[in-house]
Amino acid sequence: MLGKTSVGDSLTPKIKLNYSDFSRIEAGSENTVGYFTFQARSLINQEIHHIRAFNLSSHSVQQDKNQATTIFLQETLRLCSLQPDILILNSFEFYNNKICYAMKPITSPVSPSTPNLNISSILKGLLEDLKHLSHYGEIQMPTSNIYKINEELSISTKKNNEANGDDRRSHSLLYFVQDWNQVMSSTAIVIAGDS
Amino acid sequence: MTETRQKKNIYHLALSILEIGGLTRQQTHTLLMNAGLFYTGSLKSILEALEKRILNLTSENKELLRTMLDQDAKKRPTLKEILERIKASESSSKDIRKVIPQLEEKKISGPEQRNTRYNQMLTIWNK
Repeated sequence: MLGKTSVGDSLTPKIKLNYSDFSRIEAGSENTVGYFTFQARSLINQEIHHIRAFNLSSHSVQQDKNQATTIFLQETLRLCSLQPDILILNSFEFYNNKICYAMKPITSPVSPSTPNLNISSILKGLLEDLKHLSHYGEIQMPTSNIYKINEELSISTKKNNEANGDDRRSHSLLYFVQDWNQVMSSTAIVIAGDS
Repeated sequence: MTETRQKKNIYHLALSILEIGGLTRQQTHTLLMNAGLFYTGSLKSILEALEKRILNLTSENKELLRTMLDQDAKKRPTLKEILERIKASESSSKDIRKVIPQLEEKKISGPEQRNTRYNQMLTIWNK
């Protein structure tokens, strides 16, 4: 049950209609997260998906709704460029300023202190996100906002790799920064605290 | 985007990497900010600590992190330079992976052949 809070109110009608068993899976404060993330079951195919719902009550929206919305959409487009089939396209809905979409549950936070971290892959992923975020100001990425996509490479990608003599293993980890609005808010708080 | 802002962001990106490796961001930042004349030595110790936690940290990545955390912001690499260095390091390790199976296939026996192969590998490394 989501109740009559900004969390529950953030869902769009189509998502409410097509999904059940919502449970929030990120633990950020309602004031700071740029969007809420839920796990829910599709009533169409019984699959478990992750639902992203833009948080209209966040500090970012209160300060500049247009910029916060732009950043949310930019982050979504960036994720699609990393993994084109991650978003369930038909689930995307804009309704009375609310924005929601479902995605495959293939992202997870990076666990700190893993001894076999691939620093090059992490840096490559984060650099791309930092390039976009740097347009908005100083950025400090909390580790809790660093996520990875872990899915077997598609058959076509594997074939291409073989043809090019690329002997990478079939699993490829892609890293990205989750919740750009939250990262920007938290950076602003840290900078204000420092000064 | 101003260069100063970009260089600050690069410093903080390196701190994020260190934090993923198990070194607390705030502690590392405080240590470096208060190091003064001992900045280089402190940074060396920090990266040695990271090396103990991340088992496959390459010397190239360690050097890259060192430059990203350079006390002089002007000496820190740009986003483009970081990406170029990662690609260069990946392609050199790919070249080595190609040579190693060839060495195994040929079943090198004599010292003369071994030296030739060794020199080939050195050439690729030094590229």
